[in-house]
Amino acid sequence: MLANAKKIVLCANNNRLLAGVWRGTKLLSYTAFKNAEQDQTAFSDYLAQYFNTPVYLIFDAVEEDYKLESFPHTQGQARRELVERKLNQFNRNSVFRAAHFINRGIDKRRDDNYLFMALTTADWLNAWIDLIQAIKLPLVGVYLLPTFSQTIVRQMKLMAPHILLCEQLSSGLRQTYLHNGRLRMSRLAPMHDVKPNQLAYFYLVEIEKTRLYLMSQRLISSETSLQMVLPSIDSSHHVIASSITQDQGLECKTVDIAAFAKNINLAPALIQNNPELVHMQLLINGYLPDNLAPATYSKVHSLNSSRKRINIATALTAFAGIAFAGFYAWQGIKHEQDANEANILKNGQLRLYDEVAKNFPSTPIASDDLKVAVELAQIIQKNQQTPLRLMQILSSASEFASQINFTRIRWVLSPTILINDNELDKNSAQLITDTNQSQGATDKTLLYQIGFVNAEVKDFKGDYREALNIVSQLVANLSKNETIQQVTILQEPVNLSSLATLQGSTIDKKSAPLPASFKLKIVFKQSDPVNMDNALTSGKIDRIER
Amino acid sequence: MSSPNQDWGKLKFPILGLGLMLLLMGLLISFADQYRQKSFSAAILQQESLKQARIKFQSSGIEKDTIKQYLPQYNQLIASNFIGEEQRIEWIDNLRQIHDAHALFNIDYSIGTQESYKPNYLPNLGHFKLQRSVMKLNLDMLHEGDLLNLLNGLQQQSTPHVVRDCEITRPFGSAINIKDIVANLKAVCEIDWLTLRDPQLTRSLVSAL
Repeated sequence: MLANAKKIVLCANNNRLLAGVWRGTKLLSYTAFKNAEQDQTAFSDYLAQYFNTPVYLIFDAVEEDYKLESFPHTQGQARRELVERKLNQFNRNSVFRAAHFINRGIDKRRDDNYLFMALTTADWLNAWIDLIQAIKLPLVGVYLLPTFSQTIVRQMKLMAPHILLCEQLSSGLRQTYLHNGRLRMSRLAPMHDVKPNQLAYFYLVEIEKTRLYLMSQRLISSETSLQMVLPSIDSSHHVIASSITQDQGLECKTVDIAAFAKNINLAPALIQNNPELVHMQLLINGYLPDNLAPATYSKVHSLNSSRKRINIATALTAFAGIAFAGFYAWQGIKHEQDANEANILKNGQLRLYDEVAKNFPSTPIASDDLKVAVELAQIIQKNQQTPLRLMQILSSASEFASQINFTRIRWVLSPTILINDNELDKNSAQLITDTNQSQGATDKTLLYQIGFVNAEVKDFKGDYREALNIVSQLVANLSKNETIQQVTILQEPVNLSSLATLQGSTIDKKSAPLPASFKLKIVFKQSDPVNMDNALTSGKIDRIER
Repeated sequence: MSSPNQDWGKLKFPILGLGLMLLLMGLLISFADQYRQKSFSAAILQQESLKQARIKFQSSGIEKDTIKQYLPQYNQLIASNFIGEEQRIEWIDNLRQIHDAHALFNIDYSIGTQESYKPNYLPNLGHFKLQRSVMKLNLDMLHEGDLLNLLNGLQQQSTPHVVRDCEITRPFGSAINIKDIVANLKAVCEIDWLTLRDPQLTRSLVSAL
């Protein structure tokens, strides 16, 4: 769409302005306007019908200036500042000016080589530009016609190092010197009242002038082999070329400009009277040389370009957004379909289940809950234990140690063996967690039976050694029992630790001594009540019959 | 030459249009993404439900066996008052009967308020809610056998319970008296009376909350 948009290319010289309208790369029409007030009004009317169409302006004038300059290689902002300074130095008073980078030097410094170009007198050109700006057409840029010549030479594959391209334009004879295919200088010689039979002589004179100028500028030397190139439409240029070769001894070559025009999508017949159309077509084909106009001249075009870029960004945003949203929506619909399919299948499975479940016994709750309830009751029943086992063990042990008097027995069911007697054990089964594994327990659902026994040695006369022996014997007897996991002495009749204070009297044996009290902690192995009864190897309760 | 205001005028609508388009597309994508995520979650949920339904159907034979196996026992548990409301009167009556049968000394009892209970030794409660009432017994004894008679008597009755803590003490300086019927020992016990709430009742209570 954008490639097919209309474009207007203008080519102005001191005498006239040629305006062409292109769509894409196809020339639709062209019109010539003389540099007169009446034609300028017509030009204004002509432009008015192309609202918002971008305009490119090429000028071909004798008031042109070229200067070659080399300066140290720089980049970025430094290069821009340096170029701007040089432009001000060489063409301070020129509005239309540009610096064209040629190449870098081949010496060690590798300086940057620039060609500075300018239009020294621009009044005639401004008249046309004012008309363009008056109707607010976007001016893209202002270009120097010879800058297209290097493209012509390149596309014609002319490889000679020193070429002087001599083009016969409506403004006159345009001679462009190119070194290694790059523009170095150009001059226009107006052709006023030159008759066809004087054309060869005119060419000879003007070419000699140019050659001398080039030598004076040290662009060539007297020995330089300069190749003349004459774009020809008819046989007259062959005659001129022969004449130059014979008279000047220069190599002069003619090229078929009509064929070239055809190659660049331009009708050959058109360039007979308007050879500038070749340069204009090159611009349309995509070759944009350096713009000589200040940025303010192309502001409308810049704004239009910005607006166009924003509109493109908007369109791309809309496209991307709709694409993403569409993709997400498509995925969502797919998931929804999957969900519906799964729901249908699920309902089918449930119907099948309902069919089967009709033959099930009637139950108030789910089968899993039935099982859970029964298993819970079984676990609770398994833990329905009494202090019987502790009493049997103590009774049995006391037969071996008849000097012991039990003063207090505490029996506790606990999920852990790590409890103390003084703990308020009301919630021990709930609060202490996961200690069973550390004790090597195999059944988490079975509680430990733990006994805390306070006792004293009967008829104690102060013989602590004997008391300790009795307690040790009791512990040894208890430990032999297979149902007991662990017996711990929490308190001994006398504390013999070096870290504790030991007090007493040597007459203890004669007077009434303090009782020899001690305390044990007995932990039973985990087993359910039924197995426990079988495991007991000994045990008898001293029942005192009423 | 155009002023900055005129420049802004030329670019105003395209910029506003771009902003509006960004906003609209952001909203559109956001809505579409929400819809996608919602339908994805629904699909996952339905797949999981389908999986459960398949397992349920495939294991229907096991379920039938389970019902056959556990339903009679479950009914027994209901009859024993393990499932349902606790029967404190029965416990106390039972206590009195044991007291009379074994000619025990006076038994002081107190039953605390019922509370929710999650002990570690009952790891899987399923949909049930376990309740506990702590009964504290305080009794004088002629000998240790009195306590065993009492606890064995309690085990005869059907409601599940766990005797969690018993402490037997001999009064300081007392000697065993075999001539007179007087208390030689004292016992303090704590018993957890456990009941299960029906899962359907539990669910209805939860949904009512």
